[in-house]
Amino acid sequence: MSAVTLDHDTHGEHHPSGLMRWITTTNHKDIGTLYLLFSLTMFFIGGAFAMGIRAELFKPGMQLMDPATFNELTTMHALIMIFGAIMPAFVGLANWMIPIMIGAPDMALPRMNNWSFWILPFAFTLLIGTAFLPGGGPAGGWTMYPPLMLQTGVAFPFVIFAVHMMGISSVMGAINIVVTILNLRAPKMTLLKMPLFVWTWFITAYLLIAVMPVLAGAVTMLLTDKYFGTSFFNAAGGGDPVMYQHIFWFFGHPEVYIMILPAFGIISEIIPAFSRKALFGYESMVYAVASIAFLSFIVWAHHMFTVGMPLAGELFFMFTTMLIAVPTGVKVFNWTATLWRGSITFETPMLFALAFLFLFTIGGFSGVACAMVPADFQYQDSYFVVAHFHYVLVTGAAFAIMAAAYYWLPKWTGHMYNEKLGKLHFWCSTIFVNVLFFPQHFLGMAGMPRRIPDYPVQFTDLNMLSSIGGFLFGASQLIFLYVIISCIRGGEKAPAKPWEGATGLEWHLPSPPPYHSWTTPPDKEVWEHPYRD
Amino acid sequence: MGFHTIKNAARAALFAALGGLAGTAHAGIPWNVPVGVTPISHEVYFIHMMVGIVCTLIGVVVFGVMIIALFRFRKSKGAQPAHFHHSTLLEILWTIVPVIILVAMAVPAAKTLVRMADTTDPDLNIKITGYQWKWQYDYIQNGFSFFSMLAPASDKAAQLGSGIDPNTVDNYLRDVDHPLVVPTGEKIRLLLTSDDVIHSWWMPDFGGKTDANPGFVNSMWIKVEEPGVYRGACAELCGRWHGFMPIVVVAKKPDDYLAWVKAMKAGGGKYVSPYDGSLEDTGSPVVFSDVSYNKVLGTPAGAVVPTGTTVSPAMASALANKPGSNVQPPASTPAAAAAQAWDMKTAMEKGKQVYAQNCSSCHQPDGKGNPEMGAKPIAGSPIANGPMLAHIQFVLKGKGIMPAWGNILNDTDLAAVITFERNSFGNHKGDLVKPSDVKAAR
Amino acid sequence: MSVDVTAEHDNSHYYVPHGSHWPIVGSIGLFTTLVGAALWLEDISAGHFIMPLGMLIILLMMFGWFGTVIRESLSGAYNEQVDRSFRWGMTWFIFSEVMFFAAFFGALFYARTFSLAWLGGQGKFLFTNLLLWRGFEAAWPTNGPAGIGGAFKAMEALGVPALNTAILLTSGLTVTIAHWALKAGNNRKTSLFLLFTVLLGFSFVCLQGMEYHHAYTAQNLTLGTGIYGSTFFMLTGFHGLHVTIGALMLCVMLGRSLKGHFTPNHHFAFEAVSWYWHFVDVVWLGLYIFVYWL
Ligand code: HEA
Ligand code: HEA
Ligand code: CUA
Ligand SMILES: [Cu+2]
Repeated sequence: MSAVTLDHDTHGEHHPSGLMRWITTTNHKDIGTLYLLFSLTMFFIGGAFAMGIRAELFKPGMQLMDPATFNELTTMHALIMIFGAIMPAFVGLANWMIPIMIGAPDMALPRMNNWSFWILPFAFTLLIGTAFLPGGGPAGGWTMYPPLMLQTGVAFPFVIFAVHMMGISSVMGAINIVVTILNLRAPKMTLLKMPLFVWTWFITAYLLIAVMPVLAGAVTMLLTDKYFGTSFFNAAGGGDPVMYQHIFWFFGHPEVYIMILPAFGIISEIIPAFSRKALFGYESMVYAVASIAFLSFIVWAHHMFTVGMPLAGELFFMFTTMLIAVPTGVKVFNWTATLWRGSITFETPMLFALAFLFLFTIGGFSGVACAMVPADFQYQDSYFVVAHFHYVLVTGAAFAIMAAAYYWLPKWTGHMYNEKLGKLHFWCSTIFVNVLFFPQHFLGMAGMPRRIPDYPVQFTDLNMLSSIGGFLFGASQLIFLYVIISCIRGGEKAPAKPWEGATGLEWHLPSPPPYHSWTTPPDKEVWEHPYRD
Repeated sequence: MGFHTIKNAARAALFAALGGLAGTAHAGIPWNVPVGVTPISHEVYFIHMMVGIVCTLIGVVVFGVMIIALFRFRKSKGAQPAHFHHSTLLEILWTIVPVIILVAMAVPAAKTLVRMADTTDPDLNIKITGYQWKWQYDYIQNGFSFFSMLAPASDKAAQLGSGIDPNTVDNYLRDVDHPLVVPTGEKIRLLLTSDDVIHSWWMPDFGGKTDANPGFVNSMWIKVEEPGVYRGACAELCGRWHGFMPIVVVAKKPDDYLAWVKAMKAGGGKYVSPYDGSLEDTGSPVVFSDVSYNKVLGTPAGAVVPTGTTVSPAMASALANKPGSNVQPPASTPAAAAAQAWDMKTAMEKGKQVYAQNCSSCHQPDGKGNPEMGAKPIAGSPIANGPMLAHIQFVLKGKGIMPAWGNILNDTDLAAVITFERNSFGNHKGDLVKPSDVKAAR
Repeated sequence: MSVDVTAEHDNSHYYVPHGSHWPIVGSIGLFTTLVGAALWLEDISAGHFIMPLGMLIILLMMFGWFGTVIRESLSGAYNEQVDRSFRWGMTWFIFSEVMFFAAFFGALFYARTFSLAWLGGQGKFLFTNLLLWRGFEAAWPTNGPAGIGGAFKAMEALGVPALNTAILLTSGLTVTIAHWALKAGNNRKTSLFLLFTVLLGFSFVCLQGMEYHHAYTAQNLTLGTGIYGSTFFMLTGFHGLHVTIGALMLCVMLGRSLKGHFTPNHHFAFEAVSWYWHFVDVVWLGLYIFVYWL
């Protein structure tokens, strides 16, 4: 085993310093950092909007805002969280880790990598800026269904173009990841030798390339329907408003898996590391992710069970949707089997990964409940669905991102984070997130529709509980912020490999790694997994 | 005594057990999907509880194993890591078992779904049209229809900073001015559509919701088993007041229902309250048969309109009833209505109505506009006091947050509302806009 | 064996460029263009000059960025592995374009097979027809039950579209011949056949323009002609836009070929453009079959 050590960056003199360094950088780690910081910012902005939602819903009656403003908050909250927080966080992780994990010097197309990132701040300026236009920002929900979306005021074209920009950014980011994985792996690292995080991103990138353009198409049709007299979504002209929903969800469903597959990858790195045991069923993990990705293209209409599809359609989409529980189950079982007879410790990353294991599964169960069409006639557009997707998105995607942050922070910054505060953050988050979202299942079952700013009084208690959970969960994230900032600024020096059971190439580079990650491709002995055959 | 009976018995037992769990729902504590009052709602409840219980059981097993692992295999307890990393047998097992469980759940779900989809052969058809933000209930066989919107008490309390405690309002946000009235024990087909954006008609006690899409007619069926008052709400985001368009259905025994229908027809155009068995006159308007079947988003002039005043054979057979119920064709059609003379009085009256339905939410009932939203005042507006053609074109095409009403309203409504705007709120142009003017300006 | 990865002429290492300001210029350009377009759409006159300004910035970015890449390529900085990255990149970019068109084809198929049938009262949607659109019969082409846009004449498959099909197919052939010539090191032939391709490409665009003009003036067929006009113009319009872009890129390739930039085994840019051209060609076949013919 030949450790590759490069102690310093030999090209310091080429780099512009200060702000220009960050604006012009083509370095995957710099860009990864930019993505991660951007995502953190967006998480807080989107979260602040969510706090507005929860505050208005604290008790019945309109206290704080106009109903239209409330709808704007909901719409912006979702768009910012999805396109601004979760997706860029995953792309940031991919940027930082994939080249390192496969033994590459950088991403395959470094300049384009910079552009993928630098489109985002402009896109979100455009989106968030609409809130200040006369008539306010978009208020038709993140799904932007026509004809309602067509009633948006001046904000309309800005929102559409912001979505276009996010799409361009995502597609370029995804192409870069695919190319890097296909072309820059260390010699002899066949696809089935790649770490799972790389695998999940590989498949996610294909999903992105396949569906982001479809979203672009859908919103383009909205644009032409509003300004150029087309009739895509107008029955009078032979179109159909429901057609938009089909096109949107053809994007939208794969999109939700785009937000969970990289999370699966992260969990598949962390659980073995802290169980000190090889991942159980590596290959079936890969096949499971591939099947989920495939199935994600043929389940979209499960978001539309109540739109009045013909019976055959309802049945088809019910069956395919239920089927997704099978490969996802395989993953959950494999993680459990990895824990089994391991030697487990509970550092913060592991705690978040374990919370993911439990809480994502709960979100999956409510997903399967939604897939049962007769029951979905009750759940659809109710708070039950809100509970479902926050379990998979917050305690799924967001928790996995937090786990990844704790897992790799020592590598990124060269400092250990404050473990005590990390654990505090974990316990607060996990307890309060359940106070926040668990009651929403019952609200939905009892008949509370989603996207409403005010509600009948019998829903008061559960809403108050949920809001209190929300405020406390939000406040807990300030601990996260503090931990990250203090870890960047200093702390105990991190060794190359701070986690006893961790495997993978990233731990063979010093913390933080040199500017060009692997100037020489690492040898097989370095990355070959001891237990994998 | 075959397999079937055993299955039915098992089902009944499960029901009984679930009924116990659901008791709270009846006690008024909002915790669970209601069992409801239609055959479909019972089945939906069954599917809901089935999937809930199955998932809970799977959860108990899976989480159980995880928790055991987390306790037994801690490093702090001296656990040494094992070296296994796969087991074909296990992997096959945990692929097959979920498949079996899923198939077992899919079968009853599919059967229920088939029954839900069977909207044929109803005793009664009611057309429901969603508007921003109210419902229109059209008893197409009886020839009358009316609007149903949030009850005034709730509406008042729901205004920002109203100072009214919602807890003091009866049925806050769950009450409407004119409930839908249906007979019990009869199969009723609800025909759902919308006049503007998508809405969704959700009545938890009837087992679910169906979307009301503009330009299309969806159907769902109900058969209410018990008389009572049932409350639901619009479930699809439909704009600013989406949270404020509840649904109330009063189910009456067939005789009482017929009495109500009779009272409605005799009521001289007033909505008759169905409550308390006393069919009192509430003094609110009911539209008789002037149901415009064509008022859908984007119907411009020259659209296909129903011709003739009698029901076509296709319509008659589609509406075909079981013997004994009363089919009545719509008495008149928009074509007939349009033939009416067009004078200032008609235009102003109609215009007022159209304004209240479409414009007042932004421009306000007093025509003063809403600066916060960017809605300009109509009172004293240069457009409403300027040339007629420019005014028509502005309304047709829209601008900024002002929608292009040309896609939404028909010529008659537009002519009426523009006339109204030019001659109200202190504007005195005195001119009468004719539908043909609007048509020409398109 | 620790070697400087960025050593510009070392072919054994992957070229990692240092910072570049072109991406940020691109972002500013994109932002400016789209803000301008949005203002324009909302009838705010500032948009009329903001949008062209943004497009200028994008153009500047393209010149700068591609110029840098060309210089690096000519200086021999790109080894085979870098070349492979470009190839994969272009391949998946084209795939994403395919999916963009798929959205519009999807809309066409959905509207034709489902919406239209339902508006005509098929299956469970009987009442859609009876209550809302009585008298409307489902038949393609259509501008919907309300006849949005008024009576119109649909496109014919023969005539100009057939000619355009022939033109595009021929251009696919000429670009391939140019490629063969390039591989054989025959630079003059390459340039000549590239020229043919460019000319064919622009004639396609011109014919399409004439066809549009005829549609608007003589057939009363416009973007606002219900679902038929919407799908027809959006599909063929986006395709036409791609042909135009492709033809412009071919022009650039022609220029570079004349300057002798390409060698028999190092001409990624040429190949990328020719792939793009074939993609545009294939999309047209889909259009010809589903939009004009069936
Ligand atoms: C990360 C995002 C994510 C993920 C992973 C999922 C996962 C799933 N989702 Fe979810 N979903 C959303 C995000 C996500 N969803 C969002 C955002 C919405 C709302 C959008 C909107 O309207 O705004 C939504 C809405 C939504 C609906 C529409 C509800 C409605 O509007 O009426 C449905 C319906 O079928 C559904 C189903 C599923 C299913 C079956 C899964 C499955 O993948 C879950 C599979 C996992 C498990 C089942 C758990 C583990 C498995 C086992 C332990 C094996 C054994 C289990 C069984 C045999 C049951 N989802
Ligand atoms: C993608 C991920 C994602 C994430 C991470 C979240 C996170 C949260 N969401 Fe969100 N949500 C969506 C995606 C997401 N959501 C989507 C897709 C919808 C559907 C939208 C639609 O219907 O169109 C939705 C809708 C939605 C609703 C329903 C709104 C409605 O129907 O009207 C609610 C209501 O409670 C809600 C709440 C929350 C809360 C409390 C959080 C919390 O987890 C947020 C926690 C984070 C913070 C709070 C930020 C950090 C802290 C500070 C800013 C400091 C200040 C702190 C305090 C003041 C306490 N969300
Ligand atoms: Cu009507 Cu929501
Ligand atoms: Cu989905």
